[in-house]
Amino acid sequence: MISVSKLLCGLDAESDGLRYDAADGSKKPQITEEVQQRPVVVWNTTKRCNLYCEHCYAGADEAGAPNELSTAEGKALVDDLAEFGVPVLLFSGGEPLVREDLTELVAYADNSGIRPVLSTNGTLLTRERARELKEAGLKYAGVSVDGLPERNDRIRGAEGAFDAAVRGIEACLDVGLKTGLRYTITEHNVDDLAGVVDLLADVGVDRFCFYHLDYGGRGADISDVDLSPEATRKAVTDLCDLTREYHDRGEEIETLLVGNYADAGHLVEYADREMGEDRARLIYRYLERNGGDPTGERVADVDPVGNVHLTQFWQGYSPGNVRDRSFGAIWSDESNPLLSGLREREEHLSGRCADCAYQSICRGGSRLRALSAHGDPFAPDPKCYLTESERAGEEAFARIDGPDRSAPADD
Amino acid sequence: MVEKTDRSEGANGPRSADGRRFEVFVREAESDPLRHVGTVAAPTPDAAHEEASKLFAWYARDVWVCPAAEVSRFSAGSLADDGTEAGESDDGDGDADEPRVYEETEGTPTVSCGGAPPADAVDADDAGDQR
Repeated sequence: MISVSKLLCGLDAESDGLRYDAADGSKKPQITEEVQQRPVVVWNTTKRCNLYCEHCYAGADEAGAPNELSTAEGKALVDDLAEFGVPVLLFSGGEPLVREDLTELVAYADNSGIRPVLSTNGTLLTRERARELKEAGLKYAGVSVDGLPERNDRIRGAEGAFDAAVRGIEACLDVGLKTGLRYTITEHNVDDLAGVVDLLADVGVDRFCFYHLDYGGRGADISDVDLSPEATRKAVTDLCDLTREYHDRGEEIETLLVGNYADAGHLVEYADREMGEDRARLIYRYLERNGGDPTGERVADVDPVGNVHLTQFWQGYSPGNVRDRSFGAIWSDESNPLLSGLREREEHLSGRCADCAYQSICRGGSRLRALSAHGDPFAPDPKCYLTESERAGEEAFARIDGPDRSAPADD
Repeated sequence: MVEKTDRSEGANGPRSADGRRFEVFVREAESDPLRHVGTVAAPTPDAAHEEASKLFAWYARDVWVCPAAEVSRFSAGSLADDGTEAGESDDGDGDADEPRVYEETEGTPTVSCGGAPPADAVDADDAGDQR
């Protein structure tokens, strides 16, 4: 996850301590160094969902999965994660609000010292439900919207889904629950991106999180409508421009990018071009600490029946199930050759990733897309859009990569 | 006298949220034991072997796959002892369209955690979408 607004506009976001251990000087609460050693865990609490979105990585539907974790098992999982030091538990699905025990589980996580956050389609979020969740300790609700009304409803498989999601966002804002927008970019909706930001900023949303399509679940079925590398580059550049325009007007929206660490190199190049070498060097330093693609390291997933996954998108493979042994035991088991390979991926990355100048801030990008495109989890990410000269370090990298790099000028 | 370990089959039941899954075992060299490396989602053994080969071809001499649903698991531990066999979920009656009912019981962690490899940082509140 890359905070475009933080890097380009210096926004001091509450969660930056999670993404960047160099949240130096921040006056806002930061999560301690100790818990940053562990992954954020996404828990797909159920496969059931009241919508049927074309890109759903979980393949969610009305039926759900047999043998989903019970309330008691969910609480035991929370205990397990808390003992392991997991800092954030993201309640996801399916649609997590269809679980009648969601509030109870959120409260249990909060009482266990884990930051509970929610990923929802927003359509079931009434003011009463939002208040109940906030009182239970929920810290954040990310609501998915994938276009202006007509486009969103087509992508999400239900007429009225956009309006219902906006009502959900308003319910959160009404009760003081921090909320943000989530938007997965494809050819189907890239043209709506700026319009959605404008529309929902007017509603009061100030956090916008944009996801590159990953090829898991139904996302794999629509990889043919994923943006080309060139179109991806343009969309990210447009988002950088949009973020700066908002900030120049004094509207401090927070914008983030998820799921394609070519964005890291691109942000360095963009900053070098538009804002100067010092800013580019500072951004590089932050992103180097951030560590690039988090697969198998800084993010983990537990699916509805307890299978652990290396990211939430990569549901086709699981190194173990929490019904058999603890999450910590699974996550720490480096006798698993894939898990250990991903953690030392610099030794395994191949093709153009092997000698890319930006490898340390990207780490090869999505390993799932590499697997999907090349049948090899260490092959290049097909969505890398850096130019050959950028990857060779002949552009911004050549200017920032010098004796000064470890001690950039503060801005 | 050492007391025998009391194991139960509490962890049995469907293991897939997305179709059929296979347990995967690999062996690096002929003299090595088979090592369990997790599960893959696949419709058939051949497809499971193909998926596992993509993940472990750079490592394994042998790849064995076994339908996860056909494994009987006996363990001294269980994720939570709520008085209900894990396999007896309320979705197990074949009427999956009915809303689930979750019992409120005390969760009990049963296994201690080992150490974890250091991770430089963690992702944050919006770590999990595209759904």
